[in-house]
Amino acid sequence: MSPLRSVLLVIATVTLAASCRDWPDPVIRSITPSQMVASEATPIELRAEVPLQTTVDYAEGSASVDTAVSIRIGGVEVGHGQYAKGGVFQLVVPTVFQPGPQDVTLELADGRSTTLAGGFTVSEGQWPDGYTIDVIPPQRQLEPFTVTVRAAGEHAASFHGNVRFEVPPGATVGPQLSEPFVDGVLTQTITIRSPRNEELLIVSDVAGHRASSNTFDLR
Amino acid sequence: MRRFALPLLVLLVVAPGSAFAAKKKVRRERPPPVASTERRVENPPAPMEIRTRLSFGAGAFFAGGANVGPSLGATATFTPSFASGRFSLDLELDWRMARFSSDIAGLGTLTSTLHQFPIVPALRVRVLETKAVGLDARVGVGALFVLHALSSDYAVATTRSALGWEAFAGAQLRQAIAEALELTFEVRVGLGEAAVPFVLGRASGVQGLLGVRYALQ
Repeated sequence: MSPLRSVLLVIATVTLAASCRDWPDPVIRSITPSQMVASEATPIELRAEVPLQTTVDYAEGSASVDTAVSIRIGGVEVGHGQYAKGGVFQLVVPTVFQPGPQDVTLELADGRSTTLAGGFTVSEGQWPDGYTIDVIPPQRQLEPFTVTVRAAGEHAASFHGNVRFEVPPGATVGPQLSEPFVDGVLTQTITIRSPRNEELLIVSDVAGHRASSNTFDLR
Repeated sequence: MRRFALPLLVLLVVAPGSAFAAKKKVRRERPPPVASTERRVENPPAPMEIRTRLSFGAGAFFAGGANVGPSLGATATFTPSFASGRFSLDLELDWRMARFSSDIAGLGTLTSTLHQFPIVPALRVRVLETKAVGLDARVGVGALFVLHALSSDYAVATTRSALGWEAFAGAQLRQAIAEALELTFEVRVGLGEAAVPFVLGRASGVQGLLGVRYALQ
């Protein structure tokens, strides 16, 4: 082989080596709408290019896909944590943010991620003056039961936000974030685990409103 | 013209240094032993020549499971004249492709395509040569460039690449079909690796190629 051919072969090999690459990072293409009122739980559509981690086995002729996708707005996890077909995620953003721009992050199970800085904006909301919780009868540990929370005050009837559930230290409640209110009323199933025989439920919102239920027996 | 032909012929024959005159001189006295040395100087050994041939082939490969598909190959063969042209150096560029589709529950259909491009220098040894048929043995080791593409009806398509190595050993049967053209059939066994993360399966295996080889010089 002539020196020229040898050089060409080396150049070709180095070029090929330099072009080796792995999966690209995900990319957020759009968020619609890209803003919300702080007190209104808002459905949004997030479109993204998500190269999912896929294992292919040519010996078996099989493939498996890791569909875990985490989407966070302002550090708060939204959505169900799974990939949506076409990279089109239908999400509901809860009312847990202070007004201002929020970063939007999409992360895959293998650590690849993308962040759209200030990609979502939260504007001032209209909050109720407070909340009332319907009387809770005696309950059993770890057995789901339904509670009804009512917004109170001037903007109560139009409230469609979320509240956080809390119990006194030592006990746990799930879920910790409620579903959105429907015209000022929330009816939701919760579960409490506590070392005590009596418990009370506390609800609060990001605007600083808090309300407590009656003390009820927990067997 | 004919008038001058005979005198010219006579002049050429009897002229000192002419082939005829030299022949007659040799007949008169035996040349000294150094004459053979002088003869070698007059006729130096022929310089080494390199014959170049180009060949193209098409066929298929199988490396287990879904690692099966078509293959193409292009080879430049350089044959030096020493050892009666028994040894050659091949520079070969191949292409192989394996593809399969799989249903992904809840999402759709995924298609995985693996393109492999070995760039392999190889040693070719002529094992057998008759008027019509020849048989070569070939061994080579070189670079293997791999492209892996994923496409589906549920996510963005991706292409990844990697560089690895490949070695092979094979036999090539040649059948002359014209003065500078041969029909070739090759069977080879390969081994190689180019690590693309999350792609499992051997990079090479058994391969058969049918093609033609053309002598440039």
